[in-house]
Amino acid sequence: MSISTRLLSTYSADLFGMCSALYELGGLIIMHDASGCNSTYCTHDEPRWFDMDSMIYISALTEEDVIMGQEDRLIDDAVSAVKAARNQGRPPRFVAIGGSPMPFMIGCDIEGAARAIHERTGLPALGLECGGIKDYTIGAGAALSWLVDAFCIKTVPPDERDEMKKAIASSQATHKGAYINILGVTPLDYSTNGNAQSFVNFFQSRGMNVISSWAMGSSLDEIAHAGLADVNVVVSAAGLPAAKRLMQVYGTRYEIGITMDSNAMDEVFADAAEADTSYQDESGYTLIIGEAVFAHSLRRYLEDERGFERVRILCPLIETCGLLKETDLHTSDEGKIIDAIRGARMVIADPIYRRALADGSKTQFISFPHEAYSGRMYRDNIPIFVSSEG
Amino acid sequence: MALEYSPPARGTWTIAHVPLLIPDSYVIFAGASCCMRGVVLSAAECGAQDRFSMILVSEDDIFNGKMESNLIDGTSEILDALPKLPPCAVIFSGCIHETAGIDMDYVSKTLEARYPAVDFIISKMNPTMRKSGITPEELMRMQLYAPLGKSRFSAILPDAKRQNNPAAINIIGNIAPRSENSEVLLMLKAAGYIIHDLCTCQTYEDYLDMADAAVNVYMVPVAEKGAIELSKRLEQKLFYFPVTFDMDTLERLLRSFVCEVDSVCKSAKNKEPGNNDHQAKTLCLPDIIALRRSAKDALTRASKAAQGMKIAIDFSAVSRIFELAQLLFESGFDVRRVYTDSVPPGDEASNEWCTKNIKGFEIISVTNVTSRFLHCQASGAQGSEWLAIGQKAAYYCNTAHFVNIIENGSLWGFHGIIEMASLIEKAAKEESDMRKIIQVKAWGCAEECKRLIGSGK
Repeated sequence: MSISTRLLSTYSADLFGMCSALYELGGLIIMHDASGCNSTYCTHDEPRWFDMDSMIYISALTEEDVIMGQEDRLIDDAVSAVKAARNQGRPPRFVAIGGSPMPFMIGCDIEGAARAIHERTGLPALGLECGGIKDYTIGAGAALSWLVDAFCIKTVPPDERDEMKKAIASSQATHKGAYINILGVTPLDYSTNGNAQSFVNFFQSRGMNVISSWAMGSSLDEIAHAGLADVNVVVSAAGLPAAKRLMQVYGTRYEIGITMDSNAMDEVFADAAEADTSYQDESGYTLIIGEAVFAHSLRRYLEDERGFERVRILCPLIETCGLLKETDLHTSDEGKIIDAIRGARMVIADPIYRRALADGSKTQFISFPHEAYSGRMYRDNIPIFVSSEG
Repeated sequence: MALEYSPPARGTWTIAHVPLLIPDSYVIFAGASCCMRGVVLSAAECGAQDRFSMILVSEDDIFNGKMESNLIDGTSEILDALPKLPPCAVIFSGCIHETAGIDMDYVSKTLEARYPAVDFIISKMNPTMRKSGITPEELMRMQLYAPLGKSRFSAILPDAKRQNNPAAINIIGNIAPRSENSEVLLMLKAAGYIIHDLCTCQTYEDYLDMADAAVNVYMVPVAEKGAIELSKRLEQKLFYFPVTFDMDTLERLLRSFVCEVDSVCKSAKNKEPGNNDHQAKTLCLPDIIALRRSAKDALTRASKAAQGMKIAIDFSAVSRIFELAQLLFESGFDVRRVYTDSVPPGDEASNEWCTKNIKGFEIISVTNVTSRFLHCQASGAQGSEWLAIGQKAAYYCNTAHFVNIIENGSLWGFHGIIEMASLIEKAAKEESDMRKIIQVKAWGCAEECKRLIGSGK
């Protein structure tokens, strides 16, 4: 097993996933860290930082805080920030705190701090006990799941339920189809180039009513009505915990997957040789590297639409949504990733993975940038790969 | 203490970028995923991914006592996989290592024993400890010169022997070279001095030659601790020649610098009267009256171009923001604001002057939680035309007229004032794509990496 990561990058962290998931919802979000996490997240992982209002801050943790604990300082600073925002006419809807390696190491009671902030501000408060060590699917998943209990309307009388549904339907000019929520939409998986809107268009074009998208393009008030859904659609691993929670609370079932846009796929694979069906030996395979729902959906597309066989997924992220097969790989070990890449006939992955190819390799590499991996480096090359037409 | 905001102005260099200045250095960071993400993508964006690797710390690693062995074995794994051993490896531990109390001395000695021809520079990415003594940035500027005079790599170079060359001067601690037009550089070159600057070194051997200089000159406060350590260790004379915008201070500095440098040279001549190998001529002070006049003329031109524009400066642009504010105000500019959270060292007098003499002068925090809303407020403001000096000022004032300068740029001496005036004049007349420019991380680093690749090293 490799100790080092010589060639490759690292996925966005749990703390950043939390921030990305909650970004558009009007909350005050705190990264409990010294300084670097703020800069890393807003530079590489948050394309909305420049254009869209948010209140994401760093707690400016110091050595003294680490040695003395000092959750009270964190609480006091958070409460002061809430007051300052209210004075500016921008009252936050909630407070969320996420941990980083230092608070994790010293056992900082982030959940307790959140409870104290809730008591002093009256705002719903999330305390995410993450350490900046796991990947973004964990942080984003926990944050979206928290929204269910914090904001979703729990009990709605039957007659009001129908009225609410009618209001949603009339706002979308569709009336007869199912009501759905789209869960797991963040720029980390879908960038800000239009994929998020494609989801909505896709379901509306099939006569369905989209109650909310978690969480790009929807407000907290829309998310609050999520319990009205007939079914939820999980479009990334970040959406699975919320789907499970919605099922527990409302009994709403969920489906997992996305439909790839054919035109976009034609472009992505424009230069691809017909690699898959002409293997000389049985050991050849196409390797998709990435987040599980995306990889699973892409595999389905390749198999159904392009006749690919022997497509394997390599998912380096913790949450796989139960989508991996026996022949797939679930690892973040660089050595194993390199071996898998070098053994493949075709690799479909973020461009940074190209570095793992051996010199003179005949493996065909299809670039498919993933913002949660390469950040903003290839943002302009991310296609609108989500189908917008039913 | 309070929560802090970070504006999307990314041009300042981080400790991930600074070690890339050492030609042929290989940089290894160890830490948690969230910390590593910033550094690995920084290296990738600069085109330096071939000089960078990382050792990720897992949750288990924090408690299983393996952080030292992981650092050692991880570094070995990385170095052994390289086509050729680098002359220098820069190893960064993180907050997590320091809090766990790992023995970096042991790590460093073990690696040195395993790789006797590699210079190991041990540094820290430990912002948690930034208020506890030396900051990570100060440490990096110190460690940047750690191998000088004790390089194990140089032990295998032919005829390696260290001797102080009184006709060689080091400029240390910067992230960009000084302008070739600076009267200080011109004066030194005219007298036959060899000038070493890490920012212009092409090879690792060039860098090691810095150990031979007799004088170190530094100009930014963050480099002070490193400059003192290096000078003491190698018995080099140290001179602080800051980038200042006060012309009287500049004149005093120039005169004092000339005396100091001449005395070093003279003392060497006295010690070895027959040895002409390493001798420079007496320094000839430039025409200060002419320089002052040129500076004033440049400022007058810039002031005319910026007529009707309000001036804002931020701390990331220059070391002495209040001196610059004072100079510009006295030269007829409508100076309104400085963005900073502290008064830079050496700038105290001008801070007082500005506060007392500039009516309506504002000092605005860069990191305060309410700063988050400044850009939005500026976006909505009507009829205000700002000229910003610095990326953060440009963002907060939401202006396309700005001087894109980080950490003094290449300014130095009277020519620095002339150059700044020229940049202001240009900014007043032209608009820049502020949004695109300020989001480039570590302005100038990618070009620096290309320069070193282009040198074939």
